[in-house]
Amino acid sequence: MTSPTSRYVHPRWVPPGKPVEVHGYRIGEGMVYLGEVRDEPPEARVEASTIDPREAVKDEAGDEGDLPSFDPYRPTYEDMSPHHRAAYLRWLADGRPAEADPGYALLFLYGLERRLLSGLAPAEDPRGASSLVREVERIAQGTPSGSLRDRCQELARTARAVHLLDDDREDPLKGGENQVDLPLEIRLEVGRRIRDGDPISSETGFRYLQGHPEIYLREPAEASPDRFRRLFLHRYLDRHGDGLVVDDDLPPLTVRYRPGNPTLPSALEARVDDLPDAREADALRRTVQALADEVARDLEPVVRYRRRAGDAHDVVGLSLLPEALLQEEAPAPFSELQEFLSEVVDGHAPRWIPIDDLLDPVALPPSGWGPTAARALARLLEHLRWGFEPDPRYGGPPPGRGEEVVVFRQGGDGEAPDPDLHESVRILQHMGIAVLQAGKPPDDDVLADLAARLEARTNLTMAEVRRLEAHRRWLRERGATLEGLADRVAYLPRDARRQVGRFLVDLACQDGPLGPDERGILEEAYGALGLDHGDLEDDLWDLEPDPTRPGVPERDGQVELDPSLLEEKLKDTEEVEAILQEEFADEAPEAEPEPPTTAEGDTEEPADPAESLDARDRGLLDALAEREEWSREEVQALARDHGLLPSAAIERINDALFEVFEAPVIEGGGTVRVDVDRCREVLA
Amino acid sequence: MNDHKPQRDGNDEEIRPRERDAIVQSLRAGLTPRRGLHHIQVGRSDEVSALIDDLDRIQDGGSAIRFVAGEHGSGKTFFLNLVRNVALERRLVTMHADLATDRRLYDSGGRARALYRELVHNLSTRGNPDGGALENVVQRFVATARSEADGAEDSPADVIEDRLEALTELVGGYAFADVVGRYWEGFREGDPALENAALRWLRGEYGTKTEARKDLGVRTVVDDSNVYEMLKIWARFVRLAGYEGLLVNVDELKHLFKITQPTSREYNYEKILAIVNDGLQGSASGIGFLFAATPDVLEDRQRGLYSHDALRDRLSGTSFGGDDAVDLTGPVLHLPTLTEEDMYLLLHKLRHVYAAGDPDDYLVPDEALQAFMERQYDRVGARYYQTPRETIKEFLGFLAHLDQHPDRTWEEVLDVEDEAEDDDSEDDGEDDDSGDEDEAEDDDDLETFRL
Repeated sequence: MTSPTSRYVHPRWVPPGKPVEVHGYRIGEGMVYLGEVRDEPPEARVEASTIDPREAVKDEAGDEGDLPSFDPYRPTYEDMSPHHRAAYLRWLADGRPAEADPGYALLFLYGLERRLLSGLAPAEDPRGASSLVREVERIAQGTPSGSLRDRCQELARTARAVHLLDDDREDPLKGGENQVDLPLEIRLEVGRRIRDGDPISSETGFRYLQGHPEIYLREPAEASPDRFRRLFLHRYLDRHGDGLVVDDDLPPLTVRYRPGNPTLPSALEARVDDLPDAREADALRRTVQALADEVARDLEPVVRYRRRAGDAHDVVGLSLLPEALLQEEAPAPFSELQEFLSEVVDGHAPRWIPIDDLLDPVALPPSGWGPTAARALARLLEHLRWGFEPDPRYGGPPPGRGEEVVVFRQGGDGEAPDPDLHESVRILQHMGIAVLQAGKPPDDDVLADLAARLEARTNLTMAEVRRLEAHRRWLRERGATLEGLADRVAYLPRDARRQVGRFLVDLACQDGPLGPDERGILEEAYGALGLDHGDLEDDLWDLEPDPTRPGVPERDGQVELDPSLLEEKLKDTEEVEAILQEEFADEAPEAEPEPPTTAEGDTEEPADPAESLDARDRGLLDALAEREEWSREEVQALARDHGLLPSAAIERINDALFEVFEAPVIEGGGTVRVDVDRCREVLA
Repeated sequence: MNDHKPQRDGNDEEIRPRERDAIVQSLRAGLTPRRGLHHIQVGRSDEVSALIDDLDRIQDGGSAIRFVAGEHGSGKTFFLNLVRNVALERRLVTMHADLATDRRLYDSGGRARALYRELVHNLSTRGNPDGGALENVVQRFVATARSEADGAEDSPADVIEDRLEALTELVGGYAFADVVGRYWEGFREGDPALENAALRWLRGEYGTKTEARKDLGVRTVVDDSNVYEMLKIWARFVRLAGYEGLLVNVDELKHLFKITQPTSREYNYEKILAIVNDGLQGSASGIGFLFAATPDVLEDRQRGLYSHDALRDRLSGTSFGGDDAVDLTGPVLHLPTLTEEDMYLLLHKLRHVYAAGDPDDYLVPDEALQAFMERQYDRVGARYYQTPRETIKEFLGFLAHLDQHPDRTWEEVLDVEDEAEDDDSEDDGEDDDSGDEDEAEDDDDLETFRL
């Protein structure tokens, strides 16, 4: 047994790998504090784990379990009994076996805690720190004690952050972290990527999403976590490719740690200057939150339907799946349907196909074929960029089993249609065809003309144009009636309904005076539009060609101006011109309303508005007139040189010169553009 | 060959070439010109006068509120721009924005703040009529204060603080004043980060109070709940900066009408009610609001503004639906749809502008104007779908074509266009390239009877 000697005066750190001998125990790998603890004021207690060689040890052979216990929660070497001291030293000498009393490992850990977080400046000795962290991780992996493992994990992660260790290494201690805050491992990983300007991959983005305490996940994320994850990753990849690059304008990462060591402060805080705090990356948080919301929203109907109908891959279930998941989850019906459609429909021309053929590859829902299933089939086809008419989603009657529908290829542009616009054009087309059919049956040219005019005057997507074409084909074959349209147009304000009516009258009158059938269908249409007979008569009076009626135009394109009204309007126009001329007149400086008390410096109001600029403004203008383009920073520097606030000066200059040029002479944000010629003109 | 002596035209005023180019270019691009609108305004002298009276009131420190109601194609947007231009000319500051699905007056999910951001983004002054004048206004305030401090041998910081005192009586005014103070601090200390943070705050870009507190030390941010209050503060602030007042133009009210959630729609109408009440009672100062909407957005009892009883009380009583008697005293100003006579006069004016105000340079005679209109209307439904904007674009295209092909007569061109239209309905017979481009980007005529 080695007795205490004067060699150990002050407690000191024994570095990893350096052997020491205490009371005959050879601690081969160091990593402990060793020295005499004395003359210290009680409040400045030295390290709890310090091995003071003066403290007695009593090495008795026998089972450790027979020893009297020591405080296993806040052990200190000093407070241990001589028996435990001996057992602890033996544990150290034996290479710190995992199966021993966790109290020894905890006491040992105190030393590492102090050394890593308090005794070593951040990133001071990465190699030394890294071997200590590995030791902490080794203890964590070996110990049967859950609380000790948690403590080790937290210490290891904190130390890795503080000492910037092993950037590319996978954290061996995944999980187990307190979820109140964004887990440190994610903060580290994302922080490093932000710092290095590397993209944040979809997987990392997803873990960020899951770990961030301020990101709220809607119910579908929990009800269908796997789908949520897959769809999230898919959309993330779709939107951000290799990943999202986040600007590093973030505050540095601050790591907080509550040591277990009773001789350390109860809370430690370290700022890692080289690492941005990913938790504060608002842009990233907002992006993933928005994406998560979108994904959850799209999965909501899926979750709701599955809850009712189970995980059935019937036509309704499939139609609710977002496109990205559809192919993954139902490859067979997906490709069968796709192949079938490609085989039977050649090119972009719509084609009549029995509805049953479309239903072959997919199962019907428990409720069987009906409006719900028909709408679902239409949705499913839309995912595949196909469609059919009559589409019950757009007010068409649901086709019965055994009936034929017009199938068309939508085209792959996938632009989102404007539902309001589509609906109004569709109703117009429907009513238009009904009206046309009442006269002589419309030929291809008449229908094509109607279509071209509707399409040319509206911003329809290609898919909508093709749908309208299929709809037209269906209407032409099955006949367009006005039945059921009253409900769909009832919502329109009266003026708009009146416009629809006039459009129909105009259409019916294209080929000359109306026949009785045309008049009949117009009356029906006006009825459906909620307009009365008088309205129809008025519109017919205006629009129906009648060569016998005096003053009525022969063609729709005739313009008859009312001279007295024209005279009145001309007078009104002259009045407004006078009013506006007064407003926009180049103001004589005397009459000019008091301009804002402007700049630094005062000037009298001279006759030339350009001279209302003071010397400093003119100086700046003179400098800017040297060239046409300046960076914002250069302009700021110039303005400062002239003792001016840049934007205010530019505002004043522009304002003053507006009277001359009626346009700003200095414009722009990041790059400031100067109208050099005009500036020189003023300065000359 | 295309020279035509003047017939009758009520305007012999010469137009500067630069102004002429600006007007023609803007109109051909489907935009409202910034300047020279008086050269193309047809009629509506009463409506214009009424709005000018409103601007007078704003300049006098009062308030104004108007709803410009008109059918699609009746020139609401043009009218709003005209008033905005007059306001800028009178040294008011203007803000404008279209409501949209993601921009509302009231919301709890950030859409009201998005409207605020758009309004501030478009903040304009006469020197910066295209928006982006935020920093100019702030600096002008600071410069004014500096100049006052120089005169009084006072410290600029004290003067700024004194002047900002006026804001603190308004809700949110303390924070606004603090932020402007921070901006000055940033400028004085050469700390662009602080200047930037202050501008970000004023633009409504701070999403959390924590962030704002960290950067600027203020505990309030612009959020969904205080957008209107912030606009009132702006109105006072721009006056402190030496401007005459603030005009806020909000177009496309239909997006409130389209909100499907009744409660959410109701809350938005409540916000409008607050603005209307302030405007009518004069409790807001130096600020005017101009909203544009189709009549159904106002009148519809189910979903329109009139579905809100208090709003209906405040707004109704003015005439709608094309009655001849137009009430200009109420907050709703009805713009009648343009008649053929209006269009005819407009074409006259465009011809005049195109010739830079010189009747000797008119490219076509009066009868060509009528023939052009007839050709425009000679299409299925064109009379009902053609908007003035399109007619203007096409007419200027027609003039440009004649200008570039002096060997052709207008009769030939109109005939050629008829044939061309048969071949290609999308082209509308526009021969030159720029006209085609213009054509492609427009055409939302069916909007009036969307469901």
